Amino acid sequence: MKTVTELQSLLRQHPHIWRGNEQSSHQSVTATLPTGLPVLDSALPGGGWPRGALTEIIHAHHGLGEVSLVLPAIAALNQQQAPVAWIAPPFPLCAPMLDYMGLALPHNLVITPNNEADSLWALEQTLRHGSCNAVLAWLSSPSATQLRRLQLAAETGGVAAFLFRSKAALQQSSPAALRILLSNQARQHQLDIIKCRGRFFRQPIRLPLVH
Amino acid sequence: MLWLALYFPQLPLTVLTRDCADSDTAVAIYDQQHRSIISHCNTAARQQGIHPGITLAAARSLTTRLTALPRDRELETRTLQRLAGWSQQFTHHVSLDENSLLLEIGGSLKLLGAPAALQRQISQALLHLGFPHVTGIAPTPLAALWFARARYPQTVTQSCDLPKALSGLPVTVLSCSEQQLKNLQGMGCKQLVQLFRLPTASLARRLGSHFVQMLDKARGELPDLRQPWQAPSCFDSQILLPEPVIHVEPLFFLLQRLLLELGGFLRGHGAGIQSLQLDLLYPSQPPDTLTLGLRKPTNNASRLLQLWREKLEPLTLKTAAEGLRLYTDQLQPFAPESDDLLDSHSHSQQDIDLLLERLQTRLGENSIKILQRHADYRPELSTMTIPAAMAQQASTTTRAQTVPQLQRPLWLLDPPRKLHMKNGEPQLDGNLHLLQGPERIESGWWDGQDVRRDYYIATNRHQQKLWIYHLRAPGNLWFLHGYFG
Repeated sequence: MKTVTELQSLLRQHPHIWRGNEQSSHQSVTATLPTGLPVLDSALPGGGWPRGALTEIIHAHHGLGEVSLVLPAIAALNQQQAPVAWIAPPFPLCAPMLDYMGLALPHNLVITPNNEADSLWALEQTLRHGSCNAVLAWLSSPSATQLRRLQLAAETGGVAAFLFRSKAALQQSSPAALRILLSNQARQHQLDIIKCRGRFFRQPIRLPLVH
Repeated sequence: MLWLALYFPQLPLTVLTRDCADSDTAVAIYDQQHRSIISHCNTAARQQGIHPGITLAAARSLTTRLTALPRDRELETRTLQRLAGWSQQFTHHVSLDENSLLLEIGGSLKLLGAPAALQRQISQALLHLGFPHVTGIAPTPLAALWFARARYPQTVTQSCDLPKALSGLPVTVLSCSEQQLKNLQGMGCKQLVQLFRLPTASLARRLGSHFVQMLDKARGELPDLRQPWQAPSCFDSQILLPEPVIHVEPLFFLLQRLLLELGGFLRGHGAGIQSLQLDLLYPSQPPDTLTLGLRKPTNNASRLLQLWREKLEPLTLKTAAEGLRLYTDQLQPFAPESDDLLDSHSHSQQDIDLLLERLQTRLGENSIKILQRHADYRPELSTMTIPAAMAQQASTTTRAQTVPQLQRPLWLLDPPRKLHMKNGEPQLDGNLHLLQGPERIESGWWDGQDVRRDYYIATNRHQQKLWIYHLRAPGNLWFLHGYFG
C-alpha cells in the first residue's frame, strides 16, 4: 500500500505527467468560471465553465432553459462588477427575469448588429479585447474557420464565451472547448456532453430545471 | 531665456504642394501682384533652369511641364498659425514672424532635455508633418532667427558669445527692406561684423533708428518683447492631394498627419475632445461630413486614428476625393488618467470604454444598449433599453423591493404570436399542457394600450417552456408571448 501511495503522490507532483481524468496541472485555478449549479460544478473538469475558450450550448428549440444554465455564473460575475456582453440575441430580453436571477442590469451590454458579418466582427473584437469576462452570442451559421478564429480570440482575451446554436451544429466539427447538447426530459435538464477537454462522459448529466 | 527659431524658407511652396514635395514635376509659385514673377520653386524646377526672380512667361519657355500656382498668403498665415498651435505642446510662449516661428524654450529645458535634444525632437516631428525647415538657437529671438536663415550650425546659449557668433553672418539675413539692403551693399558691408564697427549715430541717420535698435536687440543690449501667440479654442486643418483619388487608403496617410497636428494642439492646450468632424473634399461637389463621437474626452491621436479607421474602411467613394478637412470646436479641459504601476492586469473602466467606442463606431450609435426595468405590469413595457452612453449616469440602484418577483420568461416575442386552435385548445407543435396559471394582467387603461390577459406557463411535447396568454376579449384567442430560455 505504501508503494501505491508513493506512486500516486509521485504521479501527482510531477508536472509533466498527465492523467486521463484530470485537468492539466499547468492551468491555474482561475481557468474556470464557477457555474453556480453544484451538480454541474462537480461534473465539469476544473469545477466550472472554461475561461478563455468557447462553450457551445446546442439546443433544438427555444424555451428549454438554455440561457438559464449560464445565468447563475453571469450573476456571480455581475456581483464582482464585471461587465458581460450579449451579442445578437434572437428576441428582446425581459429585464425583470434577469433581475430575478440576480443579474445587475447596468453591467450587461446588449449589442445588436445589423447583419451576420457585423455580429462576427463584434464578437471577435469583444473576445480579443478581454474586458468583458463573459460573452453570450447567437450566430446563425458560423463556418469552422470562423469558429477557429473565435476560439483563438477567446484565448487571447481570456473570456468565457458561450455560443448558443441550433441542432444543425451537431453535424459540424467545432474547435470549442466544451460542447453540450441540451434537452429536457421529465421536467429535468439533460445535458449530453459531446466534447469536453480533459474528461470523457459516458452518461448525460441530469439537473433540476434552473428557471 | 533661450529661443528656438523655426524658419520655413519654402513655406509658400509647402502649403500648396504638401504631399508631392519630392515629385518630379517642376512646381513654381508666382506672385500675382508683382508682374507674375516667380518667388519660389522646387528642386525639379531649379534643374530646368527656373529660379526666383524670372517672370512666369520666361519660366514657361524653359520647360513645358511646369505647374505654376499663385501664391496664397492667407493660406500661409493660417498654416503658420496652426503650426504655432501645434508647437505649443513644447512651450507656451510661441511668436509668429514672417515665414517663421519663435519658440521660447528656456522654460522647457528641464522637462524636455538639453537644447540640442529638443531641437532634434521638434525637427523630427515637423518632418513627420511634412514641413521642411531650418532651426537656430540663441539667447535673443532676432539672433535665433538670423542663425536659422544663415543655417548657422552651432548652438549659442550664452549671451556673451552672441556678438562673436553674429559677426560672421551675411547681411542678407537681416529683416530689412530691399532699399536698405542695397544701401548696405553700396556701403561695402557684406557681413554683420562690419555693421557693428560703424558708429551708431551715422548708421541711424542713413538707415533709420529702427535699424540700429534691431541690431541692439539682436545682440541682447535692448529687450525684445514678443507677444505670445494665443491659439483660438478650435482646431481646423485641411490637406489637399495633388490629384483626386477614388480609394480610401491614400486618405489614411493624410488623416494621420492631421491627427498628429491635432494631438500636438490638444497637448499644448491641455484639452481633450469628445467629438470630431471630418470633411471629405471633392473638386466640384459640396463636401461629405463624417462625425466621430467619443464617450470620454481624449487627446490620444493613435486612438482617434484607430476609430477613424473603423469608420472609413467600409466606405466606398462615389466621386474622387481631393482632400480632407479635420475640425472641431468643442475643447474640454482634460487630464489623462494615470495607470496603476503594480496592477497591470485589471481591466479598468478605460478599457471597456475603448471597446465600446470601437464597436459603436462601426456598428452605429444605437447598437449597444443597457436594459432597465420599468415599473409597469404590462410585460412588453416592463423592459426599457437605454443607450450604453447614458448608463454611466444611471446608478446601480438596489432591487426594487416593492415590485413582486414574478416568474417571467427570458425572451419576449414582439409582437406576440397567435396560436393555432384545435378543438378549442391552443397548439404549438402539438398540444400544450398548462403548468401554471392563470396570472391576470389588466392594466394600461390610461394610455390607450390597455391589456386584459390571463397568462399561463405551458409546455409542449418538445418540453419547451412557453409563456402564453388568453385574451379576455370576445373570441377564444391565445397568443405566445415568450420563451423561458
